[in-house]
Amino acid sequence: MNEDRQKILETKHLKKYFSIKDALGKQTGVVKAVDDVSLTLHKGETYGLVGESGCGKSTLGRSILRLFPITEGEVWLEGNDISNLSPGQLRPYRKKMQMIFQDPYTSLNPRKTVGETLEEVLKIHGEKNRTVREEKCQEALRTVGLRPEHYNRFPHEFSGGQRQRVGIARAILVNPSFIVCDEPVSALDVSIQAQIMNLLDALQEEKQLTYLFVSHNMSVINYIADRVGVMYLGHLVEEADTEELFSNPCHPYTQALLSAVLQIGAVRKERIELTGELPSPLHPPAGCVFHTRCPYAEQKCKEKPVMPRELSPGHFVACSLYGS
Amino acid sequence: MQQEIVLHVKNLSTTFRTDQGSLKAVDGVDFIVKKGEILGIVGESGCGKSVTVQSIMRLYDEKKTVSYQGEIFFENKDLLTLPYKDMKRIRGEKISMIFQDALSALNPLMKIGDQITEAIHIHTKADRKTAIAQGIEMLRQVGIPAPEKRFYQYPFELSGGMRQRVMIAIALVCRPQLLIADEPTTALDVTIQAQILELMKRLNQELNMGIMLITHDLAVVSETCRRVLVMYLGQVVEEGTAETIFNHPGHPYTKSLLESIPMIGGERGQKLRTIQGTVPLLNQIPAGCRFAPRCLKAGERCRREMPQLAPFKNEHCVRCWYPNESDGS
Repeated sequence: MNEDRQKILETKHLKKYFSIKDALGKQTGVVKAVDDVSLTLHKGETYGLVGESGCGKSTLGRSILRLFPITEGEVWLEGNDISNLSPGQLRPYRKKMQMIFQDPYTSLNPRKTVGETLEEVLKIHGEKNRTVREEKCQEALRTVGLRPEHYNRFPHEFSGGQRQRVGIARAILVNPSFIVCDEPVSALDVSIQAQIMNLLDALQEEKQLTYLFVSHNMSVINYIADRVGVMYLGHLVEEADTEELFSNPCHPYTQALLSAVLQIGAVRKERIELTGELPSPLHPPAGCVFHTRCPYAEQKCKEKPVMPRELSPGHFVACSLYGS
Repeated sequence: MQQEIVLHVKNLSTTFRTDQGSLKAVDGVDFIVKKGEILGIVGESGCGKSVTVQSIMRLYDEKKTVSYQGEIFFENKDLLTLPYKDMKRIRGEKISMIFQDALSALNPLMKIGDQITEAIHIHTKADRKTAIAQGIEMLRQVGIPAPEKRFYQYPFELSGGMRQRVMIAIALVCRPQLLIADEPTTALDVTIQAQILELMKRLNQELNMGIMLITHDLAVVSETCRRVLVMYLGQVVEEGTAETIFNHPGHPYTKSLLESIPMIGGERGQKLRTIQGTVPLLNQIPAGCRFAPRCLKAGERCRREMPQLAPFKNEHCVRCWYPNESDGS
């Protein structure tokens, strides 16, 4: 079934390394923020990316958008390899992929009105007619549930939820097919969070959008995503359809992550307490990256890295418990 | 058996003088904290939960910006009338506080150990050696591995979860009777959050102190607290046991707040229930019930008269003219 659906985005063995330099510019270390990640997004799908802070989920989102050069691997957007294009060559593709940021307070220019912020996007993409620009912006504002008079206001006049709506309007303005949502609801109160999630849902339905939804909040991911990838220290350790992942988590890290989620009124599950903390990405452990905190770690986990295996159709796990 | 009352807040109001006139951020809040219990205070941002606890500690500039009304009883004394000198002795020794962001709350230029022993030196006459021994013992108690080594490190050398443990150690080193935790786990990852909440529950039992846990995360409260206050726009709108509030919420605000949280295993693909509108600004407080403009059940009376926090069922108070006659019980 998956084969007939149009592939919007594909990454193949994507790697993003940051080099650490000392004061003289000599390289002293490498942070492997994203290490060998392959994923595929189909049209109209929401792919949820979860993991704790520092696991590389935001870096992955930004690498896909080519916000910085990638170290190795390929990114394919609608059948075109965009991994090595120059900024000029990339411009037509920028219209296809947009981003919604986490913090609506810092992602809008405080000295520009909402209208100016939105029109700038159209100017960059070559819309020369002012009336057309304004019309399009007004329409985007209407789509996200803001009123026409908001066009001439400054960001400080809005509440957090309204600012996030402006951020969404900016993203949908150029009719993209793919949007990276980087923690779009984490900075909002629960009641506002629900409004924004409903809006994202409705927009997806209306415009057949594809989302890469980055979040650390498992219940938000469970609600919004169709497929989920779990990241740990730059690696994708498990990937499955949402229902499968939440009902049958296989990787020990996913199991621990799910058991740590607090739920109102839920039956208390046996909590798997992870000892220790996330290792530094400057010195990731050899072998399986999770072995330092894994309750089932054996000698072989420390020696060689594990490759993802398909356990059941669409359910991939990188763990030696399931054969290597 | 009656539990001993640690803190009794009576009709507390906190008013800020600002350029836009005076704003009442906390308006007539009453509650008690008992020994050995964890009291949760929940609400969205701007509802006055942090102002309430910072008023208890009297952390605001009273000469210029703030004025308090009401009474806060602690050890048979009204904290609001205490001279500044006495208040200083209570802070950190009898009532201490931990903050949300451990990195900015710790002094980056001081070693962990010095920050812990500082509290001991201020409040007791212990000599250097005893203070160090106490400090290391406290670090061990909050679950920091190799405390002798950590004692001589700086905050930047520790991870987020470790820093929060250090904050808790500093707060508890003088064995306070009351610990105020203002969003202690909000900046942490879920696996670390679970560790810190377990730690707070364990210390609550071991040291038999009262804890006030301030958070916007209803799930954290349902996991840790026995009694809960729900705040909206500076007022307590509902008070009761965690079980009652989460299973049979009486106030429409609490009910819709609970419904707007996505749940794991809940119905996916369904629209989430939302609360219409946003929290009004403090200088635009509506007449009558403060939640009325966003409430689906609001009637004529709600827009005219302010309801009082009235007993609803056992140990359960609700500020609403038409509380939910909930399912069953």
